[in-house]
Amino acid sequence: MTNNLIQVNDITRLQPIGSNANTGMAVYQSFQGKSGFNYQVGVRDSHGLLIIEGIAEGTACIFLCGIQVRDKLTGAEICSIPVEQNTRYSRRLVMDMVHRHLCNAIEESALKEGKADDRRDVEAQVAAMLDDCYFSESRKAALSWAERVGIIA
Amino acid sequence: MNQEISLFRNFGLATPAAISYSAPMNAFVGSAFTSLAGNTYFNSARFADGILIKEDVGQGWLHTFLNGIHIYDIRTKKLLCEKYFDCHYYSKETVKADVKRMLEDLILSAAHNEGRLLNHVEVHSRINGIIDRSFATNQMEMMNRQMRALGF
Repeated sequence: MTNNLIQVNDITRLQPIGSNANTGMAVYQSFQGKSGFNYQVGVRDSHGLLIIEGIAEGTACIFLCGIQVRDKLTGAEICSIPVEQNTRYSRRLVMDMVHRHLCNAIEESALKEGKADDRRDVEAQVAAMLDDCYFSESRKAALSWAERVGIIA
Repeated sequence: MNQEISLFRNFGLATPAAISYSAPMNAFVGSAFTSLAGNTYFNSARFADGILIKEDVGQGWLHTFLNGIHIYDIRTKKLLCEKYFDCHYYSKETVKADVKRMLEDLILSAAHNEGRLLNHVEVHSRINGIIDRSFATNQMEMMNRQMRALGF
């Protein structure tokens, strides 16, 4: 499955059709293939960025098909991340891939415009934003559960 | 059974009509898919206090493999944590050990993020107790208990 799965040109205007419990993202498109895989396009909103993920969900597996990062305000594509076939989906993997490509895109843009940037600082800030996007809800829910069942006071 | 089915549906398990309780496994099992290679894939789910533990299982000719574990908060329906495996032989003890480790890592890292100090030994011991108890309890009873806790 190539990046052609993600053909949402104006995703900023669409409404989600549901959410995917296994990945935690809002689902904007869904297609049941003859193979039995459910192909979905999901979006995460992260500090003014839209991270669009394409996945193929099976009975006991989820494969990552493609990732795009877009500016939420303008819908402009910031980077399109190639994904090898048969890549198993995990939030950590997607986050790491987005982090790497986004930092590279920021650095390239800065160089072309003659602006100075501190790569380490960029990486740290982007990492914090993405970590917040992907895992903050899970962490809050985990602490809330831990308090409810008496694991922590 | 309708409320139980909608509870499972919320967590992305296989088609609700195919959810059934397996006494030998003491787990709820979703519908299976058999590939052309002859391997069978299915989800199984167990309840613990306030959480649902979903396993992705692949059954081959000779071995059964654990492909992944997802843990959800039943009340908020949030995905708490997930882990994927390659060539990881399935056993109930392996699942228990992995679930305990995942929950412990998650709670400790979440607390660390918030600047909270926790007693690692206490957290470890309480999680062990919750998971051991839930795996030892009849899952139908566990499910009913969770449904009552949610107000169904």
